[in-house]
Amino acid sequence: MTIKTPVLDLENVSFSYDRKPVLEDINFGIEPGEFVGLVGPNGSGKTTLIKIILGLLKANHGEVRLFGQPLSKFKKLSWIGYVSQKSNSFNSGFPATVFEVVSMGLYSQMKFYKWFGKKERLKVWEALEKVGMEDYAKQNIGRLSGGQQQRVFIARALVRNPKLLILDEPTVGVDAKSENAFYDLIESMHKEKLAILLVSHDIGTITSKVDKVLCLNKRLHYHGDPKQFEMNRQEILTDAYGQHFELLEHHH
Amino acid sequence: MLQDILQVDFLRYAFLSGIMIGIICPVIGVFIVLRKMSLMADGMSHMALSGIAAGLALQRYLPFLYFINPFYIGMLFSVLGSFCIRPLMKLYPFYREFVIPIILASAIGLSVVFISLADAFNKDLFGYLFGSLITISHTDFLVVLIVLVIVLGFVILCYKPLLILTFDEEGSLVSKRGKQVTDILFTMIVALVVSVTMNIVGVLLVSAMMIIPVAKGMQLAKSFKQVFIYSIIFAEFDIIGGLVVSYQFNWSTGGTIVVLAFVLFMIVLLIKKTVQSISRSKPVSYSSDETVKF
Repeated sequence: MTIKTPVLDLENVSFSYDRKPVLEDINFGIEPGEFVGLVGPNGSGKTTLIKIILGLLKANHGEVRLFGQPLSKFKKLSWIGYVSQKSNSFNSGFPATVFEVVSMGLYSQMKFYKWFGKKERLKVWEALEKVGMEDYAKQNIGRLSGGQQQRVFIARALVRNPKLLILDEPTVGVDAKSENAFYDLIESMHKEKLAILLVSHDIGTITSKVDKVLCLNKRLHYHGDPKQFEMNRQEILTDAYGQHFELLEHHH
Repeated sequence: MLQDILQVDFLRYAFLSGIMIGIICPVIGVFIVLRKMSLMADGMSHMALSGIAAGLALQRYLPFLYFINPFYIGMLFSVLGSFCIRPLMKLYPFYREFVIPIILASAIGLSVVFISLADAFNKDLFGYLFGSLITISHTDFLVVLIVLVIVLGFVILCYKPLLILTFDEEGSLVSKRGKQVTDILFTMIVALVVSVTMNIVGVLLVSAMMIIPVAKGMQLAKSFKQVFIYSIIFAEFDIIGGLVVSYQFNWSTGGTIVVLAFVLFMIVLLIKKTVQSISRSKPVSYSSDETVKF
């Protein structure tokens, strides 16, 4: 009984769109409190993998287990906090305040007859404080900067008090200063023993922060310790990204 | 005027129904506008018209079906139409909007064919098209009351999933079935509201009643809840004002309501622009966020 159930566990997961394989034979797990970085080039299947984990797409082969339970039987969606890539480009004209947006994170786990009361309001304030946006609670979400909006969306994911936080390319379209602040925020959540799966194409920054690196391009080309990854970086990346990778890196 | 309302039955029903519609329309309209379904409401109201025409034709050729009010057939057509629109939109994901003209044109075509079959190019039809005070009966009033209860019940019970789906579907992690159930219920409720509103403002002006008050509300509201409050206030003003004016001057009811709504919309825009240009001369709070890290 002392063995901890992994937060997430993928076994031989494969997926194809119209017979074109997108993911092949993916195996990995996330332990409680672990910070995992998922890197890979554009079109490598990162977002598809996330969608499979969230149950938005169904794997053709293999099994996904969340907290030890097969995905089809997993009902505790509130244990997962998710910040989608699309949060960057959501309907910014939407007339909602920051407080209302964060409240929505609680809505999906509440029974429809349950009143949004004092307890729930307190949770929203706590989440806003965690991301440092409590002063903006009454502001219209569309009027915030990209980085501030990203914080609000993280608060919306945190308000459910999740055990696993999944972030899909959270730093896209955010300036360098905000990016640093973002990593500080993620690190503080990591210290609170929250399991995090961070998807990014920014390899350099990620490897210095995470406990485990996954390098994806159709299949997992690397899976393990970030130090090891750094040492064999060129090899792994050539393997995963192909010969064009050199070209890519020179652009930076 | 007030005495007339108290004494004349149909006027009283018209006013009470109008007040209820002033709640129903914006409450559903908020979700329609924010889910970018404004045109769909228009398509549904035209489908309702073809349903009514079909009902009139039915009454002429199968008189023993007299007990079926064309109004209910309109409601049925409206629901059927909405269930056609969605799959068609999925067929052309990049050109979704052209599905609406297809439905609109077909619905009008159907209506005209049925109307000619029913030989009903007359005053009743005019009432259905543009609304009329005289068409509101005691039964109609009761139907509006029932719809009001259904709409309020639905929005209060399904407020959370509705808001989540409206704001962003992907980031919300709602189960697929929950989303589908909410969606289907919502579409049916829209059809209900369309058919009921039709009785007061007429088919051609239904979507205006759902959209214009919300458009005004969104200009002034600072939060999602405020959108509801402002939209309802504006809708009540438009409808009651429109009813009074149309009765006083003997104008078309639906037309007067919508014209009043539009004029008020322009005034709201003007006021907002003026307020903005005044406050722009002062520093605005959210543009001076230099101290915030993120």
